[in-house]
Amino acid sequence: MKKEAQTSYLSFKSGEEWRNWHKTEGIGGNVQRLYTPHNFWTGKLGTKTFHGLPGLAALQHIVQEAEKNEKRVRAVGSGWSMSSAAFTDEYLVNTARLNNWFIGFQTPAMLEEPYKGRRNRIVFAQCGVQIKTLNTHLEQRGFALPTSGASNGQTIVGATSTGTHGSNLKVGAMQDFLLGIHIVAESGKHYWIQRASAPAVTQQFCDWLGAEQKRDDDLFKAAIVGIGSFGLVHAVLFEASPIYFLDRFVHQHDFRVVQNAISTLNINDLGLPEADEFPSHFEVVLNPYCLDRGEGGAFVRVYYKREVAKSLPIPTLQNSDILLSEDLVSAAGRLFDAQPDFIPGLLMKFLKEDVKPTEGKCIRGTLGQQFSDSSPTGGGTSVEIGVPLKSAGSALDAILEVTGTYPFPAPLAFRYVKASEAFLAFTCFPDITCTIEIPGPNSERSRDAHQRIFKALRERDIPHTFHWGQSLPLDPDWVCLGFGKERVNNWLAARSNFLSPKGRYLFANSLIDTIGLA
Amino acid sequence: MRFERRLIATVFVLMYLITLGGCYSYSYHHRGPGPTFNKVAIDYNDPASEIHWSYIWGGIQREWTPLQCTNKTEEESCKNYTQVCEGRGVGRVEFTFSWYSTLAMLVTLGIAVPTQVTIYCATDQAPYPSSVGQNLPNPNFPNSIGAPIGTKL
Repeated sequence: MKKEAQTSYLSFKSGEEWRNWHKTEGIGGNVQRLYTPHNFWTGKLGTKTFHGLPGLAALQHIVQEAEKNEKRVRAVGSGWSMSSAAFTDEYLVNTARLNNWFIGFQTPAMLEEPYKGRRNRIVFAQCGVQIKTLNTHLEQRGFALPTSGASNGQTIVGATSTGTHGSNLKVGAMQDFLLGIHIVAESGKHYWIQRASAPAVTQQFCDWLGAEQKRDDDLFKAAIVGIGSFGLVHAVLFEASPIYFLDRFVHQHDFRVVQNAISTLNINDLGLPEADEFPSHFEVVLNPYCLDRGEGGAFVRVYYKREVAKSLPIPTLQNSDILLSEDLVSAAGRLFDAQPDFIPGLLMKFLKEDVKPTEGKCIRGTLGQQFSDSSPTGGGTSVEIGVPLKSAGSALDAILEVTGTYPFPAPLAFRYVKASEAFLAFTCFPDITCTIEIPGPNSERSRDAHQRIFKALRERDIPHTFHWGQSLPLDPDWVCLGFGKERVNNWLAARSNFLSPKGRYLFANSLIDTIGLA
Repeated sequence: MRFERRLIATVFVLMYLITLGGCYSYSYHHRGPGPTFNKVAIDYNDPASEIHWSYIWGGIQREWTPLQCTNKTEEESCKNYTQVCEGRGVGRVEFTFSWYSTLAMLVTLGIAVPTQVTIYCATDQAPYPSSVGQNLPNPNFPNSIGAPIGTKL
């Protein structure tokens, strides 16, 4: 039986069924309470007051309720994760309505010296602000996110907490551009966490927010990819970039042409339009069943970053073809299990439609235009593996060994990301992590193939990690093997110093328990 | 015996086909402003949904114009109402046949047909003015700064 209770700033539904956006089998379920905090306020908020205060108060109240009732509590953003990273069946907090944000600081004294000169592009965003909202309004004002994932529906906190990334060798993944993080922890106490070595805001800002300040490099590096386990993240701070264009080119090649580039990033033989410039985004998508000469089984997708001249107006949409992101994960919903003989053709058709070679033409757009809307997979799945760049070739061999003997319908997408300093970022391998994404139908055959790939990687001693927001193995072994004991211990130590044993239980879930991070 | 089996199988297949009608759905998703024109951000986790009946071949239907209660008393009566979606409007609307829609249509010869209507609130929000945040002028959309919501309920 459903029961609703509300206060002026908070509502919850009891016994609600929650599913993730992709409707992934086994993710989600019945929750005891699904809270939806709002920024409603029954009084008048002054101009000096933080207008997200009601939402913050609501999060504090939820944590106190959870403690009182001895329940676990987790926050969910847009529900984009294909893993149970966000989910608990006890108290689940829907943060979608907490979308207050601002760009630019009027009070320079609230910022540390290095940021005062760039104060007009420092962004403070509540947890529920979606990437598409940031893209739209930042670009209208001549700014942009420094990087993003392939699509735009995640919330800023959902994306950063799980290590969402593009293919950027300079910026890294999304959590790598964060300057500070605001967390509601035990007893509803809230903390502003930032680096001690490079703090962004002063005590005056924390006073305005009412938060206790913690300047701690290790805590910051642990909490920015905290997988929801440090408390309810209320907001983040980051610096936006000046707006830029991304010029897209997609070339289709034979596998032999790209094979070397996959593990070395030597792109000289790829015939890219800018011979002397490494693109801002470099990606290779393979059809693992069309690797012979003349089969054209490799698609190279690059984006070059270009300045937007100040004399120009804000760019308008120039090509309606880019209204849908060519996000490969969405494709998982359109792939289906087929007889092995049909898989190569099926994948090739799908890749030509989705990755779309540009035939030498440049498709120009802003970040928000290039990495825009995508569709839910409707039950599809995806696995994404991180390996050191130097092991990318061996990882490819291991995967091809599986696809060669046990075909399953999935392309392989290789992207490259600057190593993250976040302890549990799956893009943690210095200097560059190669990420290998494998989207496909959530069938027994795909799951079996994934297990074979995991086994092949282990047998070859290839260090590897998994994207927290995609399907991942539910065993603790890979965590220590992949991230290394030092990173895992640093993360655990930071969490133990920040939370009491009760707090660690409060903000954990079954995934965190299972993989040994509780 | 064989005839009975066939009859049962036929009924089963028919019922299956009829309930499959519940899979029909239509949706609308609003687009946000340029330069991205992305589908507007919505609250996917907390939609509002109701079954609506259309009568006499569509001649009679009830309009759905919900309000949102923001403060309930212990006796479950509402003390404060506001617009649904906190004034930001609906971002996505879905119309879905229920599993029994086709059955109802056949049994009543089209006199009464139910449809499930689901709305997802838009959550798009322009940067908010405050003494700390300065909202830079937007050359394309000077009036796009978000208005305060939920104050003075």
